[in-house]
Amino acid sequence: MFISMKSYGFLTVFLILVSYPTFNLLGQDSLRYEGPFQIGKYKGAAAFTYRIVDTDTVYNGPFEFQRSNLSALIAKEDVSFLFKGAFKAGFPDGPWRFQFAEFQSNSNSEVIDYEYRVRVSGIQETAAGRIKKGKPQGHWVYEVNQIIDSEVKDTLFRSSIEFENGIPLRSFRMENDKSTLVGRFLRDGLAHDEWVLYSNDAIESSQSWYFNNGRLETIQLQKEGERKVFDVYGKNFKAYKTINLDQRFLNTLKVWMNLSDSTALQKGIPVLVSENAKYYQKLDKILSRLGESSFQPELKVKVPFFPLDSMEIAHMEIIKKLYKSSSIVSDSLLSSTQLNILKRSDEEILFLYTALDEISKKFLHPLGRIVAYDEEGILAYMPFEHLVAEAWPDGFPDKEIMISSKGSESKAFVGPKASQFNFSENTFATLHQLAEYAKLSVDSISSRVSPRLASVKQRKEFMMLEKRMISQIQNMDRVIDSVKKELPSDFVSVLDQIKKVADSSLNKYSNINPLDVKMEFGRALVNCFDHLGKLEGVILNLAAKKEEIKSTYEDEVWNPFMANLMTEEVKKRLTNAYAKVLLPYLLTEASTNLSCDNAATLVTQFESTHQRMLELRTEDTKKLERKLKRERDARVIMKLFEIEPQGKKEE
Amino acid sequence: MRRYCKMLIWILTLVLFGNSQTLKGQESELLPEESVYNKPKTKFWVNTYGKIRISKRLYWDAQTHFRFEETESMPFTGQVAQVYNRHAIGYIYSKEINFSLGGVLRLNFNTDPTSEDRNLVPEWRIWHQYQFAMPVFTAMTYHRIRIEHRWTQSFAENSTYIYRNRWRYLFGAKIPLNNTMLVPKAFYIAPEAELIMQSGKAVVGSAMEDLRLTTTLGYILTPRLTVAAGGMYSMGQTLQNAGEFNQTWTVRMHVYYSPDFRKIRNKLPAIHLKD
Repeated sequence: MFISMKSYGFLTVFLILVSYPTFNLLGQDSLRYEGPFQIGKYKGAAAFTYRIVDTDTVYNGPFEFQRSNLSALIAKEDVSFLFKGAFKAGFPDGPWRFQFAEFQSNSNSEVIDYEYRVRVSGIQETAAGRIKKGKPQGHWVYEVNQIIDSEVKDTLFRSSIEFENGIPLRSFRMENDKSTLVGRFLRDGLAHDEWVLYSNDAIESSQSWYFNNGRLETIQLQKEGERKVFDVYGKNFKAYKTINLDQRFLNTLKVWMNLSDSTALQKGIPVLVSENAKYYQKLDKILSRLGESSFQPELKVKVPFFPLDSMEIAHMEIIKKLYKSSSIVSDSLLSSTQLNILKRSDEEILFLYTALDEISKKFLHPLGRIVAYDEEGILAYMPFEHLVAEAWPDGFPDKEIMISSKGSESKAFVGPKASQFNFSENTFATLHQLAEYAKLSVDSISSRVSPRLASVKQRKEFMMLEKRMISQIQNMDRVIDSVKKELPSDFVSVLDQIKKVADSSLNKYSNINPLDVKMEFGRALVNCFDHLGKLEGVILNLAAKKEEIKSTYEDEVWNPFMANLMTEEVKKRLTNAYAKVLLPYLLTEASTNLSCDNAATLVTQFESTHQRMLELRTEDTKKLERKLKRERDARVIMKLFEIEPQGKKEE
Repeated sequence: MRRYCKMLIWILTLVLFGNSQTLKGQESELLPEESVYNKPKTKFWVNTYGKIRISKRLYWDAQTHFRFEETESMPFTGQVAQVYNRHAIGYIYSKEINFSLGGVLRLNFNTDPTSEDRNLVPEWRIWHQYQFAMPVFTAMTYHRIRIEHRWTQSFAENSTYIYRNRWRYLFGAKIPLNNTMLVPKAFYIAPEAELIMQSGKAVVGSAMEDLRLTTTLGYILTPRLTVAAGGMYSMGQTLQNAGEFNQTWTVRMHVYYSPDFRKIRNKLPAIHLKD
């Protein structure tokens, strides 16, 4: 710490004095404020002049708002900011500077003249330029730098744009640590000529967009000497519309160019444009809270325009409604845990479920894309044929949906009133019909499966139960599949049986109909699966446990003829009874008679047998060993070992 | 270890010293021009070796051997030659070193078909033994020094006992064949060489009583039971004439058992004798 506690205390007192709001009269109607201030998430100290007009605060004159905290910097890191500029009658006006920084310090300080200096590392964002009537004017530079030891190490982002009344003009340049974009605008802000994106690390790799008066004509992708040219729209269209170059424009491009892999497009120019937009938005948010401003740089392009007529708009409205209501139903059914369990055992449910899945994929998802375009407001920027081709690459689906199932022949699902529908024309009316047919089919499926599902009240509890069951059973399956190969066959047959019991119990569960009985059974089943899981654990550990017993019953003896130590098995009757009678008996029990009722008992029997074997090693077992002679009945041996054959009954 | 080596050297010196003393009283006129090697006799031995643990450090060494030898009509097993009872109390000094002291009663049967003397005479011995084992790679090697004080008599009626000392040194090895250690289920091969020297007033020139070269193949059934079988060639000077050598070929069968009847509770601390 380079500031002594004494001066630190003084600093605090000083800050309190300064931060106490001091309003001063400046001239006739200008007031001055100095003190704590907050804009959105920014909290700090501000100094500015303002006027009161009709009880509103109108900023007028210089404005400064900042925050930095030395002790935070030294303790960990400091998030600081500085906004400095001026207002004129409520509008930001004049030179402005924005600065955001997140700095850490290594806490080393040096004294130079009468100052303490601390080196900082972190990221600093700076934006500087002139604002006229709330809109950027002239040259604006936005820079994001990585600072290490108080020096600029790396420029993470930099954009320099020329504005005229908020509209970008002439050439601009945007770069980040990966690539640089250079382009130009016409006087009205429309993109024009070649926009080139250079990759910073690979010189040959570039992307060029050729605009003509705002209309994107070709895109040229070049990578490692290979050049690809895309003619974006193919031909000229009657009508064009000027829109902003943003994500929406990019979405239209995807449809236009029918690019299956649009990543090349997505990664290049749009990244820089949207990164820049994000930074300008940050400034806009701050300025618009203080007064009127429009700080979004509007990079404009012209796109072909296909306005929808009133009929088409009406169709779209209905399509939207139909799509939304049917996709809610279909999504909830498809993700229903109950239905997922039911379909494992019920042929009809499986058929309906698969049909619903197909309807969702072939009707609802494509309709959803069209609806999304409409909601984004870009439906009119793309020709209908392109939209259809993009949403249904294989053409419109059939009314008959073929469902193939394992073992039996495939069966067709046909929705209600199928004969009334005709999907042959390429019009909005057909989309309407598709949506309607999908809705009818989904509703009919829903009405057929719903009686099998629980009420909304019960659904939550069922869902919890079923989620638990499914995760239990999946856990068991996963473990069993992963270890099966390494285990002896009598172990594996127990594991198989565990799986079988779990599966058949689940089937039984899904076929139970009165819901209260089902709930009861479900609760018992979760318990049962717990025991089955434990039994699985017992089996997986059994080899190790056997080994433990074996080594427990080994003794080192000195052999006088060899003059060395040899390992000798002791109390062989006990170990034989354990390894040749008890374990095989328990394993056979588990692999033939396993059920939810005796799973817990078996677990206890395995465990207490092991425990008892460990104890018997040190006990006097002369009598017991004599009794064990030729005894092959596991139940009798358990009694002799004093192992409770029923185990402890678990509550 | 150095202590045992010293002891070993001391005992060896004693053996050699004893040996050189007997050479002094040699009577030359009975000696043939060249050594005479008698035609080898064939024999068959069934030997049981018991070492019964009686306490942490002591065991009872109980050996009973049944020795057969050829008759004119039957090689190897033709007739009973000796029944041999050797007992001792052994002291386990460490895993590798043990000593024992005890007695032998050997019943010698008269195997000379032409003899009209007694058919059976007893022979008495007091013996003490010092055994040192050393692991070598996967094998164990053994040095065994056995000293016997022996009273024998001939089959002739009213013959008196003669007293002799026997100095025996055996070097042997047990090499596991199908394992890296001598453990249950391991076969092993055991080559052995034993030199038996003798001294005493009755011994005139015939210092080398026997040189036995044996090889057996053994199988360790359990830590407490081992079986082995093998063959032995031996030769040595006859007591009557130092220039005359007896030879034998012997088939040997061995059972080694080492029961421990102590209660488990007493047994446990005895496992590691020195650690």
